[in-house]
Amino acid sequence: MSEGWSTIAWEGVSVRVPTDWSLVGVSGDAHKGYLRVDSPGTSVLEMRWLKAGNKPPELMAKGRELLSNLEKSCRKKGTKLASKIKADGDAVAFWWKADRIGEGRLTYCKKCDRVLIAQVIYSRDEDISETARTILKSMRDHRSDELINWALYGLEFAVPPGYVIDKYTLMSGYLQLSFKNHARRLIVERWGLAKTLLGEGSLIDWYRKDVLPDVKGFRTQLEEVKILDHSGLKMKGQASGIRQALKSAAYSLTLYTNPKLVTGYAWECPESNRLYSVRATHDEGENVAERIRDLIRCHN
Amino acid sequence: MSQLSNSISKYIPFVARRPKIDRNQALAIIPVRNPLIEWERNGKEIHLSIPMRDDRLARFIKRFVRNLPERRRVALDEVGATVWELCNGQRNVNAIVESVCKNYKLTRREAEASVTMFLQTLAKRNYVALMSFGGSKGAKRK
Repeated sequence: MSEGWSTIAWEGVSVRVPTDWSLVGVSGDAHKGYLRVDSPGTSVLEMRWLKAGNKPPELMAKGRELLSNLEKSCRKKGTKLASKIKADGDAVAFWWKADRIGEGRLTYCKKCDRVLIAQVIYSRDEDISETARTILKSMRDHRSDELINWALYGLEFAVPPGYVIDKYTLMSGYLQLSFKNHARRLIVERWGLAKTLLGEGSLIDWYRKDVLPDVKGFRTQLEEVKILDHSGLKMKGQASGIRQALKSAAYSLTLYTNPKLVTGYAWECPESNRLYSVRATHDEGENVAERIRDLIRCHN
Repeated sequence: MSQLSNSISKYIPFVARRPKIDRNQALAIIPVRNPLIEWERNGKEIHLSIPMRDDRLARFIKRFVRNLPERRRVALDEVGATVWELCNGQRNVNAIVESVCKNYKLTRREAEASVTMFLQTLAKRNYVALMSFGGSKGAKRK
């Protein structure tokens, strides 16, 4: 078992898991979703969330339903199922044993109006019930501030409310999470193997080659800055071109405005051998990119 | 049924079922470089010199195409070169993954995904052979 713990968060739902456990699957949105985290062995954490529809749900009934469904599938497979369910404060805790062992927890958050269902499944010869309990107790539905938590593979940050995930790329050595808030865009990226990517060139050369081609419709300029004691750069840009003008004209017919500015930051963290980039389109007086940049902890 | 499939696969290779191996067995595999491939380090890169095929088809093509090169060259980037050097028949996949994790500060998951994909590509092209001893016993071997 690993010594450290790390956070995995998606759509604000967060959980602490041992550092060697990794996110292997995620789907859905803020209303309904699923994530799965695998240990290096055979243990698995499954987590589901769903909106309750402004009506506090009967957690005990939901838990019993879950166990009865499990019993049906066990019966089909010809295995016996033993299970327990009990109230644990505001939450409901359950436990089952068949060919594997499962420990789970159901919670309901009034503020987010979401039901969280999580279970850690492990084989009968593994004894990780203590770890499972710690994982389940660490489940959170929201942060103490208004921001929405996102954390995966060691990349941890939070986005302001209103920003929803648009698309994401989770590759070994490259992560990209792209958010949108009507016409506003926010993109957080992380690259591994920074030294190999940069080679002999500078950070600005790399940024011009790998990031700037994706910033379309803005006249940009770069300047070197220090970010978290690392060498970094700041990108500032102003909307230009016919496409942006047409977009602005189209948005003027709606309640939202087309952002005229783009600000981005990128830095190299030698401690983690990674490159980070945050960029956001915005209007005068907004500082989304700066807020996200300050939340990212690139190394310990 | 499996016996029947085994006997058939002796004569019709594509009928053979791929053996299913678990993660521990996969990590215990020892990749070995093809001795016919010559290689040299060039800065951070490694250049492989691979002999061209010498089967019937290749000989037939050679009749019509003159000056066909005897070897072709493939360049491996920095990380690829590191993995290639580690495929010396002494280390298993697990040891290579650990080494890549340490050298490039990658997480275990990142390194495992990249290294196994890379080794699969090398094995498909016959640049390396994958030796399996089976079981988790081999995974401890470094």
